[in-house]
Amino acid sequence: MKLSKKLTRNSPIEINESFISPELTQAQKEETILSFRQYRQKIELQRSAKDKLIVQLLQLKYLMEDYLSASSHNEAYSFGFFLKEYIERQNKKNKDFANEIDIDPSLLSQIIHSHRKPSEEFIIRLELHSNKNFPAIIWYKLLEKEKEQEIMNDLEIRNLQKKHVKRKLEFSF
Amino acid sequence: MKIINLHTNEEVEAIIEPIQIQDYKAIKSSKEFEFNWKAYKDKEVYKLRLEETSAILGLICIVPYPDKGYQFLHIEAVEVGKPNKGKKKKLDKIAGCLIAFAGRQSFITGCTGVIMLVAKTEVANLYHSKYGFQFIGSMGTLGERMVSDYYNTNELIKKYLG
Repeated sequence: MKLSKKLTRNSPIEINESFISPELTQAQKEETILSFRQYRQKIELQRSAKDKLIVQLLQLKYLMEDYLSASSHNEAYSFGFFLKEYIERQNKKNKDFANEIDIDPSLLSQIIHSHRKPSEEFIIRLELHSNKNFPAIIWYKLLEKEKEQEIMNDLEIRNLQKKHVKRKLEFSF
Repeated sequence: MKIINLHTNEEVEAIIEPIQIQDYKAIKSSKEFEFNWKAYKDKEVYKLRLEETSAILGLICIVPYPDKGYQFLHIEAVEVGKPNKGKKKKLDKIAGCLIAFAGRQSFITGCTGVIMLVAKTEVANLYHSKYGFQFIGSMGTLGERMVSDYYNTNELIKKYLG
């Protein structure tokens, strides 16, 4: 028996929330996608500039969350990268944004380009600027993820510190 | 994300992740799912399971259309396993979590939080009252076209994944 027939025989309670798209002919599929597309365009026209900004920022926040929960590290996804996205999605210039959070534009530029680490105060200002939509902890975790990579892969610091360790355990687990 | 154990009324931690090829065998042998999920193996299919076990509790198939002029995500199928359907179900919120996850994917993939689907009238009414989907046109006996715009989608994300 076809699944769609099985489903029609069930009561709404038995069906619960499960559903499957109906089997459509190619023409019906195209018509459905076209109708979705037309409705989508209608929604687009109704969206205000604020709606569009919210959508952009929600996307950014979910991308940040997913990156943080992933076990892999991506060098391109630095603190500076996400900060730049946060500013650009609001159609702001770095200079104007620096002014809004009361920091020197050159410091902002250094942070964006990963030439300088942001302070706790800077991260708190980001939380406040975003009206807590981007909590300080999400920015802090980005930094922490970067630091994790640095500390795992920094051979230079290991070579430099070797001479200070006068005695060590003689076994490995 | 958390689902509810209706026997103990406690929240249980759940995970949604991409389906693996070996899962199709487990889905079939469990006899808990009616849909032919193998038919979706070339599409994006995700499974919901408890954090502490590997048993699949629910499945969803999504198709994002991120191109300009489209920008919507189509849910092609959602299914909750038999033990968690109907009046005697053990765990609640499985479908809600799967739909909210699809909404989150809609934002992430550039589909701007819009979700579209086609469902039979009874299910469509449920999706309207429970998940805030809006009716956008009937396909007669085939079902109802429905949409969730970004605001409703974000409410679903806050409620089920927050």
